[in-house]
Amino acid sequence: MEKVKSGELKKHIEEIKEKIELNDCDIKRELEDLIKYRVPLEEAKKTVLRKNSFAGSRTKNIDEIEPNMKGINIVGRIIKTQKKEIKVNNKPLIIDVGVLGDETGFCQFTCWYKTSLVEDDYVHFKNVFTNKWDNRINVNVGKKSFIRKKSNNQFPTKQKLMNVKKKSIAEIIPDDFFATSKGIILQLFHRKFIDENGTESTYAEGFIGDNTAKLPFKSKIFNFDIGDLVYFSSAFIELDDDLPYLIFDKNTKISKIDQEKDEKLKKLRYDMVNKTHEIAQLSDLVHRIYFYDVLIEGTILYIKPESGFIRKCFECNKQLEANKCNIHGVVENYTDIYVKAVLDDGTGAINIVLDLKHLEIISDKVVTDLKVELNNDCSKDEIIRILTSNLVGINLLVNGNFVNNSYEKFLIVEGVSVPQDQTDYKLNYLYSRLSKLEGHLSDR
Amino acid sequence: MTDREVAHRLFSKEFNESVFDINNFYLKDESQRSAQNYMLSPLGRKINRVYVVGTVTEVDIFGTENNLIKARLVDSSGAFIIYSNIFEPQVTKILLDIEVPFFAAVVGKINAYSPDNDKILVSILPEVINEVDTKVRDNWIMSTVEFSLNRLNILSDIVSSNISDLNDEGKIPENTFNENELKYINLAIEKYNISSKYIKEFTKVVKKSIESIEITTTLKNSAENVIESLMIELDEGKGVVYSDLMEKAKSLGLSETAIDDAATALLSKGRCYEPKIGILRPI
Repeated sequence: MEKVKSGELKKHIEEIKEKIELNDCDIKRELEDLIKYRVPLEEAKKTVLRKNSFAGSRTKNIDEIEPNMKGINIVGRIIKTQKKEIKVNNKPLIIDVGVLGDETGFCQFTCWYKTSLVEDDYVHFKNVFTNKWDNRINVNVGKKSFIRKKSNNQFPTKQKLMNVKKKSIAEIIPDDFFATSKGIILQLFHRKFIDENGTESTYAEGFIGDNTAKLPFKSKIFNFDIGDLVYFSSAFIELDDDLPYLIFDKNTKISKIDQEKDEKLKKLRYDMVNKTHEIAQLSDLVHRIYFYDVLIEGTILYIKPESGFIRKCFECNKQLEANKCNIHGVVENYTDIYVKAVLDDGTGAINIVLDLKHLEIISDKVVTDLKVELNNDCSKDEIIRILTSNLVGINLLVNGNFVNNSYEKFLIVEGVSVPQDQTDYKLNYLYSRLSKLEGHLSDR
Repeated sequence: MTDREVAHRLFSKEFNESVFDINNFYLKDESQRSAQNYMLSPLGRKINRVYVVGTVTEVDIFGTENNLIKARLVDSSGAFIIYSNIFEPQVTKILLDIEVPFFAAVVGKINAYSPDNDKILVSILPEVINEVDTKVRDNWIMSTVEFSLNRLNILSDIVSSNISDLNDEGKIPENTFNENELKYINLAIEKYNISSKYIKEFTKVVKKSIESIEITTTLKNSAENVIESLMIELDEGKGVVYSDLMEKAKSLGLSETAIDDAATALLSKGRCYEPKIGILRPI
C-alpha cells in the first residue's frame, strides 16, 4: 500500500479541522491508526469525521434527554458540584459530579476530568452523552466533550431554579431532584458524627409525612420537634439504594406552620396520626417508583431459583463475596438463608427477600428442615424444593419499603407476620355482599 | 422490564368458559398484541397466569412415550384440567408421590387448544404445585369470592342499565376498576353475551363456594364459645387451672387439640389472659 506522506497528511488534517473541533495531534493519531490497518485515506477521513462530529446534534432541554443519547448539547446552570476521587484501572482519577438545571428540570452530570466548575456557573456542555446511573439520567462530559462557561443574566438563578412547584409528599419522585412540600415531623433522632476534620457535630434525621405518604430526611441544623407541621422548599432529594430521602441544607427554606389557627391543618394532623397501617393493594403500588412503610397481604406463589444458603459478615450483616466482606475484608461469618419469593395478592406481583429470622416467624417446620439439610450439605435443588413445599400458598402480611428500579419491583422486608385467622369476619362480610347482590338481581 | 403477570384467582366455571383469545382478536392491531397467551374470561379478566386451590382427584400418565401427566383439580364449581410434562421435577414429584385425593395449590399458565375447529378447551400448564391444608384452601376461596363479587357487581350494573355506548364514562357506575380493566369487562359482555341470567347463575356458584367453608368454622367457633362459657363458669376470681378446664371440656365431648386451639384462639383474641402459667382468666 502506498505510504501517505506527512505533508500530504497535514493537508487532510487541516481539511478535517475546518469541520470539527479537535486538535491536530488527535486527528493525526486517529488517522494514522486507521491507515495502519490499511484503511484507504478517503474512508479514514470519513470515519474520523463521523466519529468526532456531532452534526445533527442540537441543544436539548433537560426534560428531553433520555438514557443512551450521544452527541447532544445541553445548556444550564450548575446547581451542585463536588470533586470525587475514584479509581479507574487502579489509577486514581479526580472527577466532577453534580447537578445541572434548567427551566425544564434537573439532571446529574459527571465530568470525567478535573474542571474548574463552581456552583451557579452558567455552562454550555457540547457533545456529551447520557446513561443511567443510580436510577437517574446522568450526563457524561467525556474527553471529546467541551465545556463553555458563559455569562447570562437572563437565565434564572440557582435559587430560582431550585424553588420547584409544591407537591404532596406522595408525588415527590427522585427525578425531581428538589422538593417543596409541607408535612408533619413523625420521627426524629439526633445522631453524632465526626467529619473529615475530626470535629464532632450532630445531625437530625427522621421521617416527615402528610396524609399521602412519608419520607425520611436528614438535616444538620434542625430546630423543630415531633408533631410540628413544617413547610419546606428546595430540599434536595438524595438516593440511597434507589430509595430517596430529603436533605435540608443551607439552601432549604424551612418554617413551622401554626396549626392551631387552621381547622384544615388540624384535621391533616389527625388524619396523619390515625392513618398508620392500611393494607395496600399491589395494583396501586406497582406504578410507583418507591413507597416507604407499606403493608401488604399476599400469597407466596414462587420461590426463585437464586434462593439458598449464604454467608454473612458478623459486623455489617451483609453477604460475603468470594468469602470476603466488601467493607471489612476477611471476617468471622455466619450462615443465613436467602429466600427470594414472589408475593401476589391477585392484583399485582412483587418480589420479596426473606431470611432466617423471617422464616422462624412463618413456620418452624421449614427452619428445622433447612437446618437438617445444612448439616447434610445438600444440593441447591433440594433447598428450593423444601422452601417451595413449605412456603408456596402461604398467606403473609409483610411491611417494608417498596422499590421499583429498572430491574425489578421489590419490597425491602422489615417485618413479616402470618395474618390472624379472620374467617368469621370475612365470611360475614362476604355473605352480606352476596345477599346484597342477590337482592339487586332479583329486583330487576 | 416487563412486569410479572398477576396470578388470577378464579373458579373453574369461569376458567373453563374462558375460550376467547385476546391476542387473536387484536391480530391486526400490532400495538395491542403481545407474545403472551391471553384469554378473556366471561367476567372480563385478561388471564395469563392463574392461582387455584382445590382437590386433586385423578392423576394419569399418558402420551406416546408416557411423558405427559394429566390431573384433575376439583373446586366447588367444577374441575380444572392440568397438563404437565413429566420432566418438570417439582410438579411431577408432587403429583405422582402423593396419594389422591389431596388439597393442592397450583400456579400456572392458561393454555388453549382446539381438537376440532368449533370447540376450544382450556387447561393449566403448571409452574408450581404444592400440597396444602384446608386453611390455605379456605383463604383461597374467600379471596376468589371477593374478586368474583367485585366483578359480578359491576357486570350486573352495566348489564341492567343497558349502556349502549360503553365508552360513555358518565353512565358507568362507581367502581374500583381502572379504564383498562373496564375495557375487558365490556369486551366480555359483548363476546360472551352476558345476561342477568348468567350473572344469577354465577352468583349461585359463588354462594356454593362460600358455603363449603362454613361447616369447619362453625365447629371451631362453637368450641371457642364452649370453652369461654366454661371458663366464666369455673372462674371464682383467681382464674381457672388449665388442666381442670381440659377435663371439664373433654367430658363435653371436645377433643384435646380442639380445646388447645380454642384456648389459644381466645388468648390471641384477648378474651382471656394468662396471669400465671397454666392458669387462664376470662376478661
